[in-house]
Amino acid sequence: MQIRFESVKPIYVQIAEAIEDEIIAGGLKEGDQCYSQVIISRELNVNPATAAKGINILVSEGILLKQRGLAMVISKGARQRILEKRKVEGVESMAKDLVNEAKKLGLNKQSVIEILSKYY
Amino acid sequence: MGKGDNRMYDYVIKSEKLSKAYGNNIAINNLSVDINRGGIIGLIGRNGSGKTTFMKMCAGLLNKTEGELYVMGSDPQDNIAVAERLVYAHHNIDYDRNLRLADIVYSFKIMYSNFDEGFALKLLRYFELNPKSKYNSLSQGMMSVFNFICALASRAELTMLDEPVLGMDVAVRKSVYEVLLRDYTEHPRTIIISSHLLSEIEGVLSEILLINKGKLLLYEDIDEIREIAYRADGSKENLDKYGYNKEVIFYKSGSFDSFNIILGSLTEEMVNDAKKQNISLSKVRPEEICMYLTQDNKEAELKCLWEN
Amino acid sequence: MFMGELEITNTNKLTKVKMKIFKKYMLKALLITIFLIAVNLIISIGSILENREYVMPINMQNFANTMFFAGVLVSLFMTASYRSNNNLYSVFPQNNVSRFLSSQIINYSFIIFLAVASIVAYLIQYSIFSFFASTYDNVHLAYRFDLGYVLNGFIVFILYLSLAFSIISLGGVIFRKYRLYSFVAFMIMLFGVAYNDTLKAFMGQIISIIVKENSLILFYLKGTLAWLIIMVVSFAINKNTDYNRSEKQFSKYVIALILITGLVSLGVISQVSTTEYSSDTRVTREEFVRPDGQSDVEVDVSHLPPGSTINVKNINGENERYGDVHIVYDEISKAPDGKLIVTTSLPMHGINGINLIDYTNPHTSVALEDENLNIEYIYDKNVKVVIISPWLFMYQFDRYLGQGIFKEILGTSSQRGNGSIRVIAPENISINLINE
Repeated sequence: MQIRFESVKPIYVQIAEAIEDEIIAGGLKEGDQCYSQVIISRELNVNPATAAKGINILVSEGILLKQRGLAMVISKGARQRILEKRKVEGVESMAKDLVNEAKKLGLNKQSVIEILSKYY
Repeated sequence: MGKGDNRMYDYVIKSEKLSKAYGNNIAINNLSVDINRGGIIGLIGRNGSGKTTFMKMCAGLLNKTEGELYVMGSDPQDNIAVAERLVYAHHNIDYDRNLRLADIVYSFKIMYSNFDEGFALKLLRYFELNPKSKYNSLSQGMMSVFNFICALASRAELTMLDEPVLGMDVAVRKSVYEVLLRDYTEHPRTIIISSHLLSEIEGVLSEILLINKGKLLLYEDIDEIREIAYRADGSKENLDKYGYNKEVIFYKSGSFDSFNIILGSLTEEMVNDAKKQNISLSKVRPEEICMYLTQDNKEAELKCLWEN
Repeated sequence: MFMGELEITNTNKLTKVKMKIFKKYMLKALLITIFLIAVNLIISIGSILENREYVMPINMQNFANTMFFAGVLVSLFMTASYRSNNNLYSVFPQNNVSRFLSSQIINYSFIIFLAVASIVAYLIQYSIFSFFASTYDNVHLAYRFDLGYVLNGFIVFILYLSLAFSIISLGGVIFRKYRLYSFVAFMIMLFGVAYNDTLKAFMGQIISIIVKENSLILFYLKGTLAWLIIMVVSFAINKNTDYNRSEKQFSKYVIALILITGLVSLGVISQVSTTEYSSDTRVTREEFVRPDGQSDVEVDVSHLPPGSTINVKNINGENERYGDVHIVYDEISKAPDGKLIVTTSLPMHGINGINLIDYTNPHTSVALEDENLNIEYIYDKNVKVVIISPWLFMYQFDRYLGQGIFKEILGTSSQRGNGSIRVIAPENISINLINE
């Protein structure tokens, strides 16, 4: 994965998303140990506190589980949860933007559905 | 931690209404800040904003005109106990012209009880510096690398690096940040880095301290800085309307490209509202936020240079 | 007490760091000194081996002199560039006290180096030329070796140089604390002493407390006490100076100005000191060792009839500058009846109170042949007098005066005087001096 330091998206968010991508892709399965804050810090050249922040987002969303004494672990159903979230945050917000843009251009609902059908 | 005074302290640097004036020139102006320990703090500011002055005062190299300053719990002025627990390095430290790199490393070993000579020599090799070469024969870039190495190997509780990467090329800078981070995770300490290149070091930082004209503008978590201001794009008229009741810190009104920089943090709601007014809102990169916050002119106006 | 344990440890560490650089400089200084000693030796040995007719002085370089003034110059320079020197170590933990003390330790190590270099230079010179003197008949040493003198001179050298260093350092410390005010005050003092006689006399009195002390022991006591007081005052003022007020250092021009001011002050001080010395009746020109000449030679001329004339052939005194003599008929004096008196006044070729002629074994021989008086004045040719006078400042002490150990006057002086052989005739005898 690659951190885009010039992006407006905070680095810790990028880290969280990168871990999520791994989970979706199957590289990290349920029950696996997630990368530790130190490893992320070293490999991505980011401050360990930032890495910790990224991990903590995932903990607060229930995607990672804090296990006593060990590193974070991928929780059960994490993959599902991520997909759900992406669907809502990602695809649905894209749809909102699409509809707004279409309205601006004067396209009606039918035209929008036609365009969508072309690409699906 | 080093020997000597091991008093615990709340803040690694604590200043209250700190001022430093040279005659009429006020370098540090009423600066109050409590800097947390243990992080990597970026000290950001324009040239002459007071970064070096502040660091030197914390290092005990400059006295204050007014106010209070505590470094690791004590007054740093003429204080060996504090000085032995901190290191202040910049890109062109002066050494006697007869000294070789190995001699300087040896001197650090004598003066700093935590200095790791083996580590320093390994770093010299890693960065392809010959310990037998004379310090004065180094290029600016290599001199910066060497001074960085000595500071890092000191493993000082408070490590202050003033523009440490000046003169280094991109590849070397990358290595330096990597080495810095890695040693920081192995041997935690408080590191303060002053730099111009915020975009480059942003990933390394945990906090940012922004100063301008000797005054503290902000001291925040690196991620909080993105919430300080946002950008509004649109036509000049719409922008004027939109920015009417908001704090606009910078505006550019061109025929093609117009935008405002407005103080405040961005929410989903605001974005949608603004869309309805034909204004598109977006986040601003930390480097640019710092730039806008420290700009003198609110308005971008280059025209005057070519007009009479 | 006045220093904490942390300060002491830090001073040690800082001194160690500064020593490393100091040693590099001392190595260079050592090489230069060896070179100078060698050059001086080679030139002098060359002179010894050179065949000259007349007596020749060989003045060996007094390295103590050179070392002393080099030391004072360096001290002035180091004090003037105190800030810029300290910048070379500013990255290391230190405080005002450890900074000051570590510099002082380096300074005094330098003094020891200079003293040891002076003594070694002297011993090298002395051994080599004493070898020559014992091997070659025509080589003489003007001064003899005295162990007590050499050792005491070593300590006196160190004490005087330490006093100089401490005064210069005190000046630096005062200037760093009071800056412009102290500079103005100093300039006023300098001009006052230079141009006002009362002030000059007053300054002279203060200086003579130490500089005119003729007992070695009292000198050591006074000198050490003065040095201690100056060091304590410097330490105290430095401790109370805010070093970190600003980072301004002296530019090269200011340092040069300070050096010049320092040298001018040195000039004024020496002038005041020498005035003290010249008013001292210890050493005057009249005390120049003037040989008694030789005993008069009496020639019995009782067998000659009254009214006789004795012929005396004059000596070709063309090189009287270098020691020849001519014969003079002293018509005014009268010898006792029946006796001719030939009295010799040796020429004077004097250097710093030594008459080189003494070393040439001059001898007047007189022989009467009928009516001719043959007078011959002979002396050793190609004599070399090696003058090695170690140390400085030793003429103020009684203990070593008048023993032929060292040059007992301030500065240098030379004296020339022609010699002559006077022939004094008794009543009724006249002398016919034949000149060529």
